[in-house]
Amino acid sequence: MSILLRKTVFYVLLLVYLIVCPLVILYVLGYIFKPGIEPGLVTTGLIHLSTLPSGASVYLGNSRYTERTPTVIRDLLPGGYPVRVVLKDHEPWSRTVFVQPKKATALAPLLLWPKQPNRTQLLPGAFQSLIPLSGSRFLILMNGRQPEGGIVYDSGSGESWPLVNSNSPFRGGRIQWHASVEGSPFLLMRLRLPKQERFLGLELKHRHTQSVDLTRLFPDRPIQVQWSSHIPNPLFALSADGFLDQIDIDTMAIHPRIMGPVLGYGLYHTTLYALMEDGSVRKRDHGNENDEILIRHPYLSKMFTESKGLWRLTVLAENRVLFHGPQGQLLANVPPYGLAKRDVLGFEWDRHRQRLLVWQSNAIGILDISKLWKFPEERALSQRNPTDTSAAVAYQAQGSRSFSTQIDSRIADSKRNEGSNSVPLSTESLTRWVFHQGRQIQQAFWALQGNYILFLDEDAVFLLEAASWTDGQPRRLLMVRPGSSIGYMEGTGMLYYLDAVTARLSAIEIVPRKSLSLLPSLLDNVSE
Amino acid sequence: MPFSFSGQGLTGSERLKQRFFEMAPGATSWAILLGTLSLSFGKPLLAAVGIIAFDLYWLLRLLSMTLFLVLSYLKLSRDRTVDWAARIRDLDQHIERLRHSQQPDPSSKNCPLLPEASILQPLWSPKGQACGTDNFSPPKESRNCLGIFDCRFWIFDWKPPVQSKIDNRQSTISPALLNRSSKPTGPMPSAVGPMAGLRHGRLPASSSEIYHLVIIPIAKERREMYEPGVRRLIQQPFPSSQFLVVLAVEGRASSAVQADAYAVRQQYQDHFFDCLVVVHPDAVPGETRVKGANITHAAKAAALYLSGRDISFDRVIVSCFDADTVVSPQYFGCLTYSFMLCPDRTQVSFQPIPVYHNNIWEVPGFARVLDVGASFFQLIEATHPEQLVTFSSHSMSFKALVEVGYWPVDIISDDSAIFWKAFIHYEGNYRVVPMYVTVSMDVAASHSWLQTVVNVYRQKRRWAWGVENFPIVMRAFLRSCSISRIKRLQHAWKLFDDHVAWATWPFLLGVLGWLPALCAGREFSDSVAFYMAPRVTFAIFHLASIGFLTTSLLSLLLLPSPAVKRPWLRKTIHMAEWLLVPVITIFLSAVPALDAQTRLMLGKRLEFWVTDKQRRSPGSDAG
Repeated sequence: MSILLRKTVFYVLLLVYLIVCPLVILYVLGYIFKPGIEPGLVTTGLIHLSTLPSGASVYLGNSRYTERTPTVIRDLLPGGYPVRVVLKDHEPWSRTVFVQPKKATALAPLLLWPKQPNRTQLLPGAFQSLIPLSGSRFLILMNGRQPEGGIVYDSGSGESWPLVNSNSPFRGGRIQWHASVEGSPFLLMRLRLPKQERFLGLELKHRHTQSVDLTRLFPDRPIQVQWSSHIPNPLFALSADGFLDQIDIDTMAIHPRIMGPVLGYGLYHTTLYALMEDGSVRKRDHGNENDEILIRHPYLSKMFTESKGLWRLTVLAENRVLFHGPQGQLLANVPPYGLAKRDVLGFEWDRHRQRLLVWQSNAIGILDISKLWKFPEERALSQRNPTDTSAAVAYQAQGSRSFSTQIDSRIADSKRNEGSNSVPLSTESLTRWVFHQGRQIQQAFWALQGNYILFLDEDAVFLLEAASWTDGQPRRLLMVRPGSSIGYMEGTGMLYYLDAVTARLSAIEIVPRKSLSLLPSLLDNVSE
Repeated sequence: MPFSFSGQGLTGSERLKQRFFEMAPGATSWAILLGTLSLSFGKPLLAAVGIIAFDLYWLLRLLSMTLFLVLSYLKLSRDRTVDWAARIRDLDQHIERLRHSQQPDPSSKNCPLLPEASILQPLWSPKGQACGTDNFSPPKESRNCLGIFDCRFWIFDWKPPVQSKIDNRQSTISPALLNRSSKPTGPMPSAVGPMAGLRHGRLPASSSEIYHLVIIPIAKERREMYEPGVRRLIQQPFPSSQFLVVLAVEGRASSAVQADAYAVRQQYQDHFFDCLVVVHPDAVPGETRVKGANITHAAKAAALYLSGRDISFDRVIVSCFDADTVVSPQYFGCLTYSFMLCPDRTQVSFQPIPVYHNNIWEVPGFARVLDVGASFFQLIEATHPEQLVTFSSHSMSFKALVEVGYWPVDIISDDSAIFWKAFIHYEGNYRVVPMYVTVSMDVAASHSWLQTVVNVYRQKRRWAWGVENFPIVMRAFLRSCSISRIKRLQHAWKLFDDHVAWATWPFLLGVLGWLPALCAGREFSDSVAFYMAPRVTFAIFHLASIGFLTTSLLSLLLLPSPAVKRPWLRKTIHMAEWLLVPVITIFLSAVPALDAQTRLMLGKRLEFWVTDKQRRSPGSDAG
């Protein structure tokens, strides 16, 4: 080939590259050239919009954007833009969205609420209560307190069957107490039968329930029973004297008093975490008779021992423990330790984004745990020394919203010396209140992978956007039978409840069914 | 320059340099891949920007390569129609005249050697003036004075009039100059110029004095594999009586294989000048089990044979093929012609375009796409002859082969190694001339799909093992003072860049390029770049589809028609097979290349693996 031709091609393409490449990179970074504006190059931002369902029209002010959702509105100069999203048969959505230079404002996913929500009655017959087995696909529906009045509903298949068989020896008993573990299809019940008390273990499987009489494994009435969500064996029962018994269902054996006295305990896979009476937290792996101290901190010990009552330990990950106290306190085993002094009724963990949904009777908040866990592990472990008071943390309540913490100045000094990786020490920066006009909030759930919150306030169910750019006004969805609970299954996108009028098991579609399969792709890397 | 082209038996600083350069390509490839990976996690914004810059660079390279691929293919398709025999005849006539003429008559229009700009300028006269002899009948397709080059060469090889005049002043043709067999002076012409051979005074032998030594190495192949190639030699327009065919059989081959070779020899011997069977003994000290050892042994035997018959090596062209190679019917015509016309013919290799048409329609789609891609790569390489390196089946002057010491006997990539060996030996005065004729070989297929994958992988890894030349070449370059620095830098960079790109580009384009978006933390996912980078990347890939579309269309033109009922359907499916390229290039191109480079980096060696080839049809006339 002619050298001239080759050289010409080479230099032309080189020139093209040298000119085009920087321009493209600047464009990617958010710089555009606006003629007529000095100095010509301006930084822009964008709005990323995706809706469920997709295909909605987008209006920026009065102008309709060419593309439908999901879409990216690019080349926006910084400032506020009134955004309106419209989809047929759905209620419109509108907000003023603020665009920052070189930043993307993600409005994803936006749940467009249908004008006629899809509600279904799932079972005939009225029920008195609904017991959702959190983390599983099963719901227990009860009519009265007798096991024969119970129905198991499988939200995955839509099938239902009696809780106990017709020839079960437990028929006629009264359910006094039941225990379940998040994510486990195993249910433990204590029944009061004429002349005796029985313990019934129920494993919910597809289309049937396998029941086992565990009475002889509980010679004494336990205060609390827990098991691993992965396998319901062994069980760990907390006796009245504060000792933990390990109960092996397969061999029907009891290993009494393996640890104690404890103030509370929790499980993570096969590792047992126990809050001891002396205020220390120990952990023990399954099959290992030795336990190690996870933390012994003077502040935590004081909080644990001064409080009267049982603590509930929730292990979010290995060595990451939350302590929920009898007065609604919420503590963690890493600084700043104190997350709430009182009144927390419950919480739900968003593993994907490392956030905690907490609620009080009148308020809902989001606690960003991810900042908490960034604190160096070594620092937390060093707090085992009870004489080390340098990391003492002081508490200060702020009325009903007791999420604030003040930090000892010595800690603040040591943190400054540690450098920029230090975790923010005030829990104010960890929490965000999204709603505080509740009356009697009983349950709350993360929905749509943490982008929405469903909660039950008295007898009404509300849907709330969790994103930080919202104004926190929830949408009321429906009313439920007074005193009953609700259940939400992320897998089906349905909310299950007992109808306020008919008391029948019903469901309302929260996430459009055809959008369910799109969920992971829509929600990847979505920013709050 | 005296230099041992081997990486074995080194000591001291040479050993250190050898190891350093052995590690360089692999270390660079891994650094690029792992660096991009870690940057995607650690600094996703920086990674995204870097990947955009790379994608743009790749796009422009792709468009450039596509352009030259098209031009090269056009040249290939046109050269297919050339009557090389006629051209050789014409050239023979002119050579004969030159030998017998006393002095060229400047006023004679019949003399093609008039040092006039008009001759060396557009070789194609718009008026079609032929200035040959009265008996000269230029081929129909050519119109210039020698009837040798037509307008195509005017496009590709034409020199502007000013340059031609300068050339004229520098090289006035005279009989004395013509008969002088000195080495060419001055810079080498970059291509086989129309008058270069004659102008520089090295009068070639006539075609009747030229011999072709064809070496066919046989390790375990039965006669069905190589017999079609032997038959094709008989069908060449060049007289087969001037072929010396050597069947180079490995001593460790089975008795059936050896018996086949003797049977073929007996059957075809009479068609050739001679047909020899040379058995290469096994486990010769200093050799490793490589093809180069076998063909070197055969070449030495041929040298003895030729010397015994007083055949001068500078009139012998050696062609080393694979056992499955079937040359195109025009191959030896084009080769002879190019050899005759080349001014530095004893310091040149001749590189055809390798195609894999023997069983192309019998193999799975991924193998087909890969090997068509290999052919395309060679077509593109042919457009840059200054940096062309020999690959696979090719030809060269036997004199040069002997002078440089034959092929390396301990290197797997003997096809490229011989070029470097010669390049170093002749201190940079060695080059490759592309020939736009094809040699057809088999795709490395097997009886099952999975085994075909394995075979293709191993073959590509063996090709990529050509990186073993890099440390040897670099050591030679460091030592050399006579090879110009620019040339050394160009060749070294190309060798290095080609191998690193081979191992890394498919990963960067197909996998790593998407990582910043997939692994983005919140900080990056909040940025404009997080959303814009994939869009820009998609736009780049859309533009790149021009190249892909062109490539897939060209592949339809290049491939022979399948012997099926509906060939158009088969070809349409083949077009769709090109969509597999992103996946295929990762697993069956980049991974084998990375494998080879990593082995070299870690000081491991690759055993020579005889490609297992299976062909359903008994013998293809492909090419």
